[in-house]
Amino acid sequence: MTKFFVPLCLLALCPWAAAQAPVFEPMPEGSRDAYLGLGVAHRPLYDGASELRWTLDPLVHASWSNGLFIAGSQMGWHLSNPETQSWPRWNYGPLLNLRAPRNANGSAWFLDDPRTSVNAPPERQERVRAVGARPHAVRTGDAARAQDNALDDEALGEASRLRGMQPLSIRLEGGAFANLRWSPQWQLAQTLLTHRNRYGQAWTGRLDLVYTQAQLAAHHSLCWSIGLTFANAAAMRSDFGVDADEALTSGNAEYTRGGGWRDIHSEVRWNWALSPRWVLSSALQVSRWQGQAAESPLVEQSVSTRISTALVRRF
Amino acid sequence: MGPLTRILHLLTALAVAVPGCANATDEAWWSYRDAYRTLVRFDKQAQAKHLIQQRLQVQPLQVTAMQEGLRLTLTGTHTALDLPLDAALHTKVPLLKSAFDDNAVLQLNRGAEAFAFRVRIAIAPRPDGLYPLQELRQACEQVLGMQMQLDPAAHQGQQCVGVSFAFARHSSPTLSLRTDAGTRAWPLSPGPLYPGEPDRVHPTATLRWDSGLTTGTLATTLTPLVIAAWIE
Repeated sequence: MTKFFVPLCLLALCPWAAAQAPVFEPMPEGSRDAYLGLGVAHRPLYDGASELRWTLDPLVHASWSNGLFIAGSQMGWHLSNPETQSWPRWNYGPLLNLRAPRNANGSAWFLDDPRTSVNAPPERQERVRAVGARPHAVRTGDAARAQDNALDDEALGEASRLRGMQPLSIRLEGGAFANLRWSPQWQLAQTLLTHRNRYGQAWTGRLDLVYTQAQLAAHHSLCWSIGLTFANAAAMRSDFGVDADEALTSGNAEYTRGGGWRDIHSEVRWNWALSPRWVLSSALQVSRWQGQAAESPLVEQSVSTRISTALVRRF
Repeated sequence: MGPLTRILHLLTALAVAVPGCANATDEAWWSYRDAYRTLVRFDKQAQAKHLIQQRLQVQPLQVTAMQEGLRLTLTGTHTALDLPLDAALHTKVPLLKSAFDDNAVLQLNRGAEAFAFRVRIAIAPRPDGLYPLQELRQACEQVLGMQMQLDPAAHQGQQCVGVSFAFARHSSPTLSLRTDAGTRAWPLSPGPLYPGEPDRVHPTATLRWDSGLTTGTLATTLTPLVIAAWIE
């Protein structure tokens, strides 16, 4: 007996680090399979923040018969044709990934702060906008500035440690993936991505063990993964470092340590096919910052938890 | 309102909103795109498969499941196909690009609690009704080899121990084994379509390799519904 096997691990367009590349799926020549959806997520303001927020979370997942795919914020191309291989099978190819920008309000695709939204009083919106750009004056000892700070903090509700930090723009990373599947259920996914930032060439590597339970019950599937992320000094400094100038403007202690093990993370994703056209995709993700990342002054909490759920249409 | 309360509210809202998008009926269905991907793997495998076949079975989950008037259709915006079911509720699902692009659905006119879709790999029946034992052994190995490719974890350490012939209910086939020593009748007993399954309503004949038979030909008067590889 052959079980139905559709290793569907849909990916949200999440503003945090990229997930593993999807499995190659056979389909008729010239066809495509696409999922588009919108949902909500409850997640930290930025990597390491203790404050949580609700965000709208688009979900994008598309694959083409020639091996091209878009999964969340990544785009890649399967160069291998694993269907004709015997086990274990290799899936590999080039990969591009977009990383969300980060400013004083946190990290998101659209730097939408609910407190600067049109629903907030105009004076407060003004104040919050100004706070993002203004140096934090904790160290100046200036009484007027200190009072300003107090007002800023009041406006923001909770003082963000990203205030006074240089914003990070959208980053395009390039690299490759190589996934080793030793059965339809189990695979070891590896990705290596790089981009240039102001500290040099930033490298991030991920290693994930993925288990897919395709037929939990009729129309329900589960996708579970656990993995590690490694980053070199340039990658670590841009996400978790505080340089001398930023230390002055943000009030955070200077932090310029090297690279290494960045985090350990785990995800459970549950897909419920409501009909051939509609899927409800929900996920729970937990990551724990490690090593140099965990000790960063920007990290308020070493464990981050995100939940999300989205209604997705299959096109 | 704590985050947990909010999550609960959200889930409640979804539970209310979601059935609106779900299929209005509780009929058993399978997305054609998912079915296509599962079925096409058989064709893509490079290993030998000339003695075996893959079919989709609509398997009754209850003994009392009504099989009369059972209809399987492939339906989409530009797709409308009736898939005929044989006496053992098997059908050959065509692999069509148009239905894949259409995001069509395999739909049964019965509930999912009564029937489930199963992909079955079995030995192909021969039109002349003559099965040389050597060829049956080879066919069993082809089924096992295919299963190992499609789902290695489920077939770890298994091997072919024989074959089983299952015939239509209430039919009376006769089987005989022809060897150099002569021809003798082969016994039939009530059994399941596939070895190891619980129903006992089909006339079945089993042949195990450990019975010591190596040469000869099995002859049947009727075409079997299923010639299953016996894998343990």
